Amino acid sequence: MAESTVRTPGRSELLAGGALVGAITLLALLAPVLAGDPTAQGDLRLDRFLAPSADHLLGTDRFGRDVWARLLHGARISLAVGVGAAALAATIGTAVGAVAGWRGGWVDALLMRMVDVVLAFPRIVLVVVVVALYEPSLPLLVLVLGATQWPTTARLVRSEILSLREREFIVAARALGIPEGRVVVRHLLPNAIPPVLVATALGVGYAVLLEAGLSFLGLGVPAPTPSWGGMIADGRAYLLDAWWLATAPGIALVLLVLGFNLLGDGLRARLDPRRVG
Amino acid sequence: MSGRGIALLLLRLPVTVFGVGTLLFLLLQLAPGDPARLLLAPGISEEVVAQVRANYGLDRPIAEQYLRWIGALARGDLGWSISAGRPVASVIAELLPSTLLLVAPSLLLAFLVGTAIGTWQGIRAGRADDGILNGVTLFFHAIPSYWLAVMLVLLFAVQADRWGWPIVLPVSGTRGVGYEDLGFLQQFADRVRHLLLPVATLTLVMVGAISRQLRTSVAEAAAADYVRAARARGLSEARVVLRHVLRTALLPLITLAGILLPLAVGGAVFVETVFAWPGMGRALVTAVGARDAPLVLGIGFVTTVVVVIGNVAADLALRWADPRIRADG
Repeated sequence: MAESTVRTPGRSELLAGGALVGAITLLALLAPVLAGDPTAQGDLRLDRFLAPSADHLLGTDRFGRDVWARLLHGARISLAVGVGAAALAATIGTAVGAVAGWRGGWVDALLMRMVDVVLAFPRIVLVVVVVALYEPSLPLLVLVLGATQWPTTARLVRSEILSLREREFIVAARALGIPEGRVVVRHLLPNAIPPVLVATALGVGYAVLLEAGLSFLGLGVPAPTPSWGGMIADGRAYLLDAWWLATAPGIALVLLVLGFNLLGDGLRARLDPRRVG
Repeated sequence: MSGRGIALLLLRLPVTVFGVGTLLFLLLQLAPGDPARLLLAPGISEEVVAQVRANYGLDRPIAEQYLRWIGALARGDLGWSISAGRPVASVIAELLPSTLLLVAPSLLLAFLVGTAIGTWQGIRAGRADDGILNGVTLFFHAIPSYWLAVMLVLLFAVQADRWGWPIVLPVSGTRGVGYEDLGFLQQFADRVRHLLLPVATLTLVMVGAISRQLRTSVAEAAAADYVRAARARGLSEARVVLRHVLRTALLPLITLAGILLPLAVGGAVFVETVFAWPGMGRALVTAVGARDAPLVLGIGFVTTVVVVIGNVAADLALRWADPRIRADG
């Protein structure tokens, strides 16, 4: 069994990343079963700032709310925004990259200058500007984070298409009279799937960090909906007496982002074996 | 280097600035509500709103508004800050040095540390110490700057004080109380103490990106034939690494600098907020809270221009450093 002894590239990364993302997704899905109401306030005299215990796994916050419950429900926001934004970015990026790479000429030049402009913006600054002008809400967050993330994917898809468009199988397909759109969608784009998958997995991580960052600044999903960034910001004021308030959501955030980064790295190693490591 | 290539690069500056101006204009136009009201403090009387609308030409056709907007930006006229009560350009001129004081040393440190770690890993790719460093950098790569900042405060200020550590670091502002009465050296020391935690935060969140990039390019370069040839000629290991491996492996770093600059400026938003650092990032957040749209737009515009200048500088440096690009530019 010679094959089984050869280490598959990226295997350990995929396993570790999959385990982290899978576990957190499961906890998020089962949040209503595993934990109580994240917005239920306790007795303001007796239940505030309780240290972690069997009753409250991660203690309670300044309103006597259970931190464990808020953490699990916060995971739903993080995952929804992160995955939603990355999926949107993959869609826009693939479409723009395909059109730019296939059409070439001035269409390509114009689209690539658009990519330059969006990439030049420090992302968080652009996102803050948008959130400042519009009312923050869950759909807006997905839209803004997705709309600032597509350029990376667009560049990847474009370069993939540029490198393939003159190859024999494409020339042959066109010579057979297959409509252009079909050539692009059926014959060119499938080749771009690996790099897009890698960029999307890493993109979820970035979007999760940014969503939590916005909540940290008070510009994310409105309170009292629990969000990890907002929980860190709340806990900041009580570092002296209740260190767990700011610590727990941060660890959750690192684990989730680490999970998606590992998935991205593992996919890259698996799909592009030339890369070292 | 070829003049045409440089001209094209420099042309990217006005083109991107124009593009950013257009994007901001669109965002302002598409925002719910009246742009005149967005540019004013809430609760202003109807006459003033009409006055501003006329002054800014907001009652003109949209094409004319757009041309005026671009024209004003090109002249460096960024409008009037509601919360500060003076021109946005003068507010930003005051904030920019603070942000640069934070971002520049962080970028420099991140590059030094990241290069060192990445080179070490690339040369020893696949061994145990490479694996450990990989885990560490992967971890720091996943840490959000705002949380790391809060944790450093918890450790080096709150707990350091509680546990009686010899060093308890300041966690807000650029200098301590009684700064004016200190001697020159003590003033310098005070400033450095205030810089330590903000710079450490920003550096640590960037190191991973740099070392991971460098690890790949060093490992690739180390496997190249000319490196094996250099070893075969009996050159010392240090000489092989410094003269032959790093020379090509460092090139992607210049490109990476263009990517890291927006990350650093973005990270400064959080780091400045946590450490009450009087720079553009913190001002952006407070301006949003104060509904000061002109200041928000102005900071968005200026940070982007700074980043574009950095990008163009990185590309120029790359052309200078890599003869392969020069040849076909």
